[in-house]
Amino acid sequence: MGIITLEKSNNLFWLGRYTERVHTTLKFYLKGTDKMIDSDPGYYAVYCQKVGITNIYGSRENFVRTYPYDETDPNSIISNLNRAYDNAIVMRDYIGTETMAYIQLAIDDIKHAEKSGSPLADLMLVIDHLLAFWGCVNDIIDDEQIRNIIKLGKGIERLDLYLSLDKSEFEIKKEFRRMKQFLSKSHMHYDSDTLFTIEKMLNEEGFNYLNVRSLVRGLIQQ
Amino acid sequence: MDGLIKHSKTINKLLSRYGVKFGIYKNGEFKEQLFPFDPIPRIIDYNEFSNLEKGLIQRVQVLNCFLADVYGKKQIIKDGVIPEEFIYSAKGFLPPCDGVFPQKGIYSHISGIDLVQAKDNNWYVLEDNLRVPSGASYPMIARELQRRSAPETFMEHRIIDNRNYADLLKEVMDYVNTGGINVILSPGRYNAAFFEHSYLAEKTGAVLTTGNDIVCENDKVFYIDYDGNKQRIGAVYRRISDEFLDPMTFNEESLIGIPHLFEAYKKGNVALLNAPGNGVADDKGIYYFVPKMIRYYLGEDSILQNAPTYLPYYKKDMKYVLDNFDNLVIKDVAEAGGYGVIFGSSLSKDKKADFIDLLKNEPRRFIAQEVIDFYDLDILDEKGERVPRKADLRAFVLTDGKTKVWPSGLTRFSRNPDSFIVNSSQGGGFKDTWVLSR
Amino acid sequence: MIFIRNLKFCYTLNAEYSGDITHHNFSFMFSPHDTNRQRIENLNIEIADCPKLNITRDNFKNKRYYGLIDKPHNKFSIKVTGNALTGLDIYEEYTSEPVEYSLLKVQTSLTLPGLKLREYHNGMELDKLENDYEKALHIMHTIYYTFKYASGATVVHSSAEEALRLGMGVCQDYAHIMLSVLRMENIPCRYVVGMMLGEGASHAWAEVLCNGYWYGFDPTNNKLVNDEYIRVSAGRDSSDCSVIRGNFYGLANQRQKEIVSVEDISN
Repeated sequence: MGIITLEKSNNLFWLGRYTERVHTTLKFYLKGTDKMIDSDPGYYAVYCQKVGITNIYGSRENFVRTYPYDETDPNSIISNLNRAYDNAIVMRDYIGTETMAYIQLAIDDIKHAEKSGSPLADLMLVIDHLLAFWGCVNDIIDDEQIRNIIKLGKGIERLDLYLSLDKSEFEIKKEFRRMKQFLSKSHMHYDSDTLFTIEKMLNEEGFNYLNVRSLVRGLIQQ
Repeated sequence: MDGLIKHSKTINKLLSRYGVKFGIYKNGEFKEQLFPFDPIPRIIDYNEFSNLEKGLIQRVQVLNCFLADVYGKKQIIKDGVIPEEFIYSAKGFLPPCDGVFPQKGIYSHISGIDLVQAKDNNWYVLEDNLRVPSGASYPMIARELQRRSAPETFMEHRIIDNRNYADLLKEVMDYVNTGGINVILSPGRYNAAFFEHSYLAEKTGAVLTTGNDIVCENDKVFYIDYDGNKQRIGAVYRRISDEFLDPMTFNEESLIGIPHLFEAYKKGNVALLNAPGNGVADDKGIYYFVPKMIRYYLGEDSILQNAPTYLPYYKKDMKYVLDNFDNLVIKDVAEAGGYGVIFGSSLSKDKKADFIDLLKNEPRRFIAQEVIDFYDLDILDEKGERVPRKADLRAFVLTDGKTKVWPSGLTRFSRNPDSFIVNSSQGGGFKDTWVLSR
Repeated sequence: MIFIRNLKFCYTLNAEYSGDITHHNFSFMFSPHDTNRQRIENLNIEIADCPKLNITRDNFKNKRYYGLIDKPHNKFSIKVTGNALTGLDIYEEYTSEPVEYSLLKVQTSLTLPGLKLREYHNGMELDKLENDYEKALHIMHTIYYTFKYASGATVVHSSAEEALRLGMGVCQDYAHIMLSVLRMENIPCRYVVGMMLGEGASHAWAEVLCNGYWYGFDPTNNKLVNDEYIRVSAGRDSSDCSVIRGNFYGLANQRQKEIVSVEDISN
């Protein structure tokens, strides 16, 4: 194996991004639904604003009921998971059927949760299967570069989301360090000036999250 | 077998886990659905299979001879065995392939021969598929998952392992490879058989590609990596049809093809599996002549029988077709996938008159066949009860230095009790096919 | 009367793109060659900026030039020049094996007759004529007098049937209609691309196999192909003879212009 084309590197990168997007937004959704139980019923509007999606939901009930499951809503969790699947299936020959199965299982979990009596609890299975997917990436995929591109996608996505979700500076810096190690190992083309600027900004206390985020988004040259 | 029925839920769960699906376009939208699996296998005993095997090898060898002849010396036409207009008006006859010789002279590397067993126990060939026959991956993965779900069943019965399909396929690719890597060229994610493309790539170690990362330069074909380095490609197992293969030679509008691929092939710098132009041999009109070809090229009788077929092109046959219209099934030679099939008895009076007009105007366009009294296979219905259904068998025949029959096949069945159409695109399901080792 | 003329020809194709394009694959077919009726001299083909030009022949013996231009560009041009000595004979080619041309008896998707063409064919009462040559001549005359020349009425992919229904079209449509009727008569015939004396665009006509000889018939002008014509390529229909095929990366509109000039320089 070992031949990674531009198209394949893109698929791997986005496989990493979409699986991470599902993972982090789902955790955030579970926290958000807790808030919406009693302390802040209108929190879904804040959720949409933070994650950067249009609030089309209209009510707490509708948000809770449709946001994870609605395949016709491009921002839903399942839509993002379907995109992860699309990027995975075209890479079956690189990542393997065993690895792919965990994304399929996660999709089935969401569909199952939609019909279940305790959907929030059942959605946790999605996270289990995504973690199993990451485990497979480490355990089964032999080619280091393939692993690193997926992890780079994951790292970029997490950093982007953490910046959007106002995680602590400590968390941001930690995720940046993790992402950075995959940047060079993945052999993906990136803008070294931008990287340098991001590093400099992160070293200053009280850095501007939005500015850092827009730099992170322009880091990889595709 | 009862073990399989008992564990059928588990098997289905595993099939779903591994995404054993096929794609379908509904109202212009691409959807993937699980390929319905029935746990009751088709069982072919050893002697029966040996006979089938002989017949399939004979047939595929002759079809390869025919292709070499038609795109070469055309002796069979000169000798008047097949009327020339049947060859040249076949949609699958591609003039650019005339005089082009594929690597090692093999045209049909992977052949899918569709058969049915009649109530008299005889096997009849319904159709040859020599272009891009699909379906082998389904019984392959289903076998793996059944063995895991019901191991005891496979201990009790002597069943030839069919999971070697990928090895056979790889041997074929390696045999014709002109030096370089093997790739599987898929039209893309939104193709009905994409599961199979990706699965076979994984299992054969070939690279899966949609062609965007392939370039043809000075009659050689290369795979281009992220940094722009080129790696030579020696064999392309292409799962896209001839017309889309190369916009510089075939359909200019094709966005999925590789420009100048055909020139590289013509000059012997890359192998294409299957060879372009094979459509002339699996044309429904040419099908009628296969037993004659076997006699012509080998001087032998055909081991496998064709379904009794009439060509309205011949006056005598036209008369028979008109006299027996209600008992026949009429097929449009240009259609595939179970489309363009008309049962004479199903037409209203007006429609029948219209159709007969069309038939008289374009006799070359249709063939007529006797309806075969299928030997039905049992399936489990939704309630878990055994009910009989129409089923066919797609046998896979691979050709490298030798012609080999994969000891299994795709058994497709119709879920609708009144239907003869088993195609997955029309709601059919599949079964495993067991070949017993003694 | 047969003349020998010396025709100097120049074919140019200029394409311009509204933006830069890359990975430009092209295939070009406009290379006249010797027949019994014409001899080509000083043939020169220039294709701009192509690092390596490859040549192939298709099964109709047409020569195709093809290549790949990878670096960004927004222009593409081809120029073909040379001399043709024409009128060396009245036929293009002789064959002792007409059966080799059976493929050319079969209708293609562009010549496939529908109701209109079948009626048109019946109306010609060709069975009253002696031989294939007479039939071809009669078909040519009939088309010339019943079909109207009009540019813009039909499109590149219009079939013979569609054109005949409209009752008008360009040289390509005239040729397709003629081929369709000939094929209903089971006569081998082919579509020809070429040039005609004067200034303008490329031309098209039909070639018919009569008793082993291939003759050119130009239904657009109701003329037998003579020393005013330069033959370039042939095929089953216009799609086999497309002059240029291209495929590239980049979002750009293409503007393409073709100019042909043929000048008589015989003394």
